[in-house]
Amino acid sequence: MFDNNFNDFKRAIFIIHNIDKELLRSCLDIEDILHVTLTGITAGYFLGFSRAFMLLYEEDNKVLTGKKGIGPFDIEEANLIWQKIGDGIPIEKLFENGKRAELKNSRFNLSVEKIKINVEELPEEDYIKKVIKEKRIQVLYNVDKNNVKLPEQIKFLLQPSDIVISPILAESSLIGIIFADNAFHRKPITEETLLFLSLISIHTALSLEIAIKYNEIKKIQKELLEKEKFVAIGKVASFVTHEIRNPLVKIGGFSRQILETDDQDKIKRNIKIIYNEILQLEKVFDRIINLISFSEISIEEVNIYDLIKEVIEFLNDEIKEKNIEIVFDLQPIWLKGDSIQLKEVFFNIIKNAVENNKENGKIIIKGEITGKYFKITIEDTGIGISEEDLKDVVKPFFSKKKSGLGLGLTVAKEIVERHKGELMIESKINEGTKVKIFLPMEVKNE
Amino acid sequence: MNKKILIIEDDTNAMMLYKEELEKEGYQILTASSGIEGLSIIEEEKLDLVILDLRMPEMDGLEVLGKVLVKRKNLPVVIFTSYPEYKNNFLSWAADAYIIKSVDLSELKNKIKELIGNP
Repeated sequence: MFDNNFNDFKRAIFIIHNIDKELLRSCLDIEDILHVTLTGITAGYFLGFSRAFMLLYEEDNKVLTGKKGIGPFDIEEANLIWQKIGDGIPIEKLFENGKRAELKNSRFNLSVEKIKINVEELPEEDYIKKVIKEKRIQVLYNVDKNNVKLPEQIKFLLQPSDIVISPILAESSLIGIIFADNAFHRKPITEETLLFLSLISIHTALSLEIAIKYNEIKKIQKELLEKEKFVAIGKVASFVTHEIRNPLVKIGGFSRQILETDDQDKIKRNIKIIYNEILQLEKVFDRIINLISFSEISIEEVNIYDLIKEVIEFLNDEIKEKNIEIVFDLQPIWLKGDSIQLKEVFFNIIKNAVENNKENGKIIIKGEITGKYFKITIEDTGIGISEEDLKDVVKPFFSKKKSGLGLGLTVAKEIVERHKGELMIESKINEGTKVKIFLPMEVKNE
Repeated sequence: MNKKILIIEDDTNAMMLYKEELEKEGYQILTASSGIEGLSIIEEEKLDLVILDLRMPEMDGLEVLGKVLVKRKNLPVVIFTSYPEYKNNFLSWAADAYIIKSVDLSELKNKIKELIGNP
């Protein structure tokens, strides 16, 4: 077809290149892909159809749904809209978002968005059925709106014109259907145009397939995350009410006293108490939010050795102050995990080991491979935990310290379990505590 | 002679608040910041009522309650806590009342009056 006409060939390359470039740019957004494709089909630079619209197919319920249409609804609109999106706009502006709202609210697009066709209910001779069955473009010349074999919802949109119906196929399964016509200007549909339309359909299909899968995965991922969050919220809910109710009762009580007294000293004292209780409340909120808004773990290569070294460096002042000796028996090892969350694990555990340690005590950090896991042991020579308390230490808000909120080990355990690992605590009163962390050598992201 | 109430509560500010509020009613208030301290006061003093917090370090409120019952079978005990769920723990049923902490202390005051009468 291009044999004797270099300009035609150049134009072909130009069209495909420009549409492809835009498809790639919009790669994961279905809406963007539809916009780019339909703009390409209708713009005068490219295929020059007067109108085009796209239906997407849902395999599960065999329904074609109208998604987007570009073009004038009737002859009155034709001049207006066609001028705007057609030849008058420079090519790089053609795909811009500014045109979107205008196009979205056009009568043609709104009518397209109402389309819902159950493919199984269509008669055999319907052209949509034919396109799906034969998996190739159909061209209908000089369509008579009243007699053409198409669903009523489609006929409603038709104008006297030639129509092209092109399937969007990915590995021979149907993703959708493109309709395009030459209403109003009636420029003849050439063989070359049809070839371009087929090519565009293939490129659109690929982009759409990826985008649809991506959206499905995103949706499932979001649902899972919501569920997990819900469980986590339930777990802490009762402790949360306690942690919030206590300060509230005090704030309420002391403020009522202020209302009932003229004693300036008492008022001052009460305001100070209220202020401190509010600071406590704020801390509680911060920690709770950290606890329940765990982001999904991001899997990356993590050097556990570096991570622990960093934590020790961070706690250096406290370690020096108590003159604690750190015995470090760990080789650099790379595991897969979330470096920020794992750092929080080691920070919480080593901080406990420092705080609960005696003056001149020791913290022994060891790492070794045991089967499919890498085992990290953090052992201190501190005050230890009684047998009775040991089962409670990982529960939220369990703390023997006046200052702590009792979330450190809860968070640590939660994170380790999110990495499909395990955290175990052994302790003897007055001898010390040993925390063992097992992290899988391979973490699979779900 | 005013009626004597012991408050066992590990939170200093909360204890101060309840003490002041009940003193205003006319009761004589003793305080203990732990279950152990509370139990020794129960042994030494002739009390009319005990107000008991539940979640405390060292000795939990329910354990204190058990020991109070052994020592002073007829001493009224009011559990005053922000944990509603211990209501389902049968150990808490031994108390004379189970009141959830609230800014409005009238429920506590009314219950005390009901149990031991006017100060």
